[in-house]
Amino acid sequence: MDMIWTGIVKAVNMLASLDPEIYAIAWLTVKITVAATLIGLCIGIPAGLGLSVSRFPGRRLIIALINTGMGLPPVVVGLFVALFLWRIGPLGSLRLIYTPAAMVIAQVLIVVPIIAGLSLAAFQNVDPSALLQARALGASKAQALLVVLKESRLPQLAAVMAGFGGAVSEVGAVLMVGGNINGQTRVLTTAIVQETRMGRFEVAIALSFVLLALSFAVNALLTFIQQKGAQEWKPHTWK
Amino acid sequence: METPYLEMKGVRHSYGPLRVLDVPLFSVAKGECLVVFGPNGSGKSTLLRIASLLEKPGRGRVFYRGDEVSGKTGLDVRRRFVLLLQQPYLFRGNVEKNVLFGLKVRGRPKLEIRKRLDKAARMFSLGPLLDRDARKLSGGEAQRVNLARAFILEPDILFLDEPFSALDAPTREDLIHELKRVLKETGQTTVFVTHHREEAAFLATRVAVLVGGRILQVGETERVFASPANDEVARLVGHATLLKGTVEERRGELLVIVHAGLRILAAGEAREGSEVLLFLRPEDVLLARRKFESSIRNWFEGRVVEVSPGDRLVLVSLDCGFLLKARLTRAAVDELGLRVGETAWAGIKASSLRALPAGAESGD
Repeated sequence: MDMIWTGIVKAVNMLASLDPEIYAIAWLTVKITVAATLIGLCIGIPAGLGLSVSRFPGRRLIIALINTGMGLPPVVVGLFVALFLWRIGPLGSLRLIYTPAAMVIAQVLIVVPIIAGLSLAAFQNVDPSALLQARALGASKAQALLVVLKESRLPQLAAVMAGFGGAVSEVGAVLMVGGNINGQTRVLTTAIVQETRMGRFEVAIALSFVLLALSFAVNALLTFIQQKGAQEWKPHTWK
Repeated sequence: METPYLEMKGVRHSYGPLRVLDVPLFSVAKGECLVVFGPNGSGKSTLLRIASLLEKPGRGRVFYRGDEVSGKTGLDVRRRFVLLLQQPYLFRGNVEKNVLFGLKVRGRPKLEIRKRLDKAARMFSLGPLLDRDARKLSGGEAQRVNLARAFILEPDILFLDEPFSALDAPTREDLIHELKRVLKETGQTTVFVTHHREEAAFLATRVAVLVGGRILQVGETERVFASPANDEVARLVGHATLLKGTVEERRGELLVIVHAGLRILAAGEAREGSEVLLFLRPEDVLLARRKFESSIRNWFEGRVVEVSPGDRLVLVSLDCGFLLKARLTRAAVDELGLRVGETAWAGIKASSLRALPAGAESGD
């Protein structure tokens, strides 16, 4: 019990003294995670929209694959990204293995199914007559799709949160393709693994506090937006 | 003859194996209010979606001012139309945003948007509603917003799909009067779909009766209501079947029909000796204590078997050897002292009795 307590105290001291190494690791984590989430949104939301409004053979198979992908084991993603980016692999000439770019690629593959799946669910919750109504008032197909996106913007935030959460907490894949190189590819999760292995619990605890704080800050912000919006649109009810 | 504003030729449409629409010709003239009238599930909404270019017909062609609409011109022509749905979908945001939606997607200049908003707000008294949350409106307010966002576009043709059917009776009446006033003021060409007889009669300059995906009769409102083309249309426009009889002879424009020894004069086209069904609107029956001299050619004596108060008028059932239903005001019922068991005379003008061939039952 003592060890945990001293660990926590030391961790708080490190954070308070603005330990530059910890903050560098945190900053890299933010950059990689935000990049992966943004790219994931650019792919996942159009995919969800497309799947919600169109009907084509194989659509259900794709949805089943996305749902499977939402629970994709990150180490498997890490393995395949590593195989492709390996020096002698098919994309080896790009020299991306053990770089932040490789980590972003792995994270994008992990978050795209999550975002697409939740985004599809959000789109399917929009009243189908929204699309017809928009077109009936003269919207082109693209304009009508934009309406559907706007109508579902609050539930879409769940997709953003889950995507960010999936990316920021992921460890297996980024470790395999990033290599946890100090100052280059070391992020909060991989650093926590490293420090725990080395028995430097106070550093691991400090890092985990930062990770939790980061995760909480982003989710709290998005939740605030979502709930504020939800309140605004609450239907009439009896008191 | 003037080229119709909108014309559909040889339109057939199916959902899977189910044929929902088979309309060889459908046209809308400038300035008219054409009411497509028919029971639920008769294909009215499908007809409307195809006419307003939101759905492509399985077969057939659509013409706008004489030019065939193609994929290329589709959006341009579609933007000259507006379709209002049965259940208005109001977008997130305030009323103003909803009212301006159509102008925004058409990329109209700001100044024009301002001007038109003022006009539409005045037309539908939306002033105090404009910055209200669109999702917190009552049903009646939502429909006014719905109408405003259509009229603001000044469409060549306005299509309305049972816009008032989900509203309570007083709100519906208010809105239908408001709509008629605005239609008159603006001369808006309108296609209005409804299963309400009263709405159809009140709004239409022309009526198209749609049953089972087919247009059974189309024409001036008065004519369709007074002279239904067959028994199905007759029932839809509010005629009740009176009795079945045989044509004894033709006397000028009229037919003499025999039923259980009674001779009845009616309007219609039928061969001598053929069987006909007689149709009648209960409001065309005159009730009296005794027969009197007038232009009324048919008089039947009967016993009152039922007096049932209705929405506005009272329905009196008379047993004259056949069951005759008459609709009259409460005041008239009181004045005549009509009570169950009493006898009364029913007078019916020959022109109010419609004889239709008995063979033409629905579904044939």
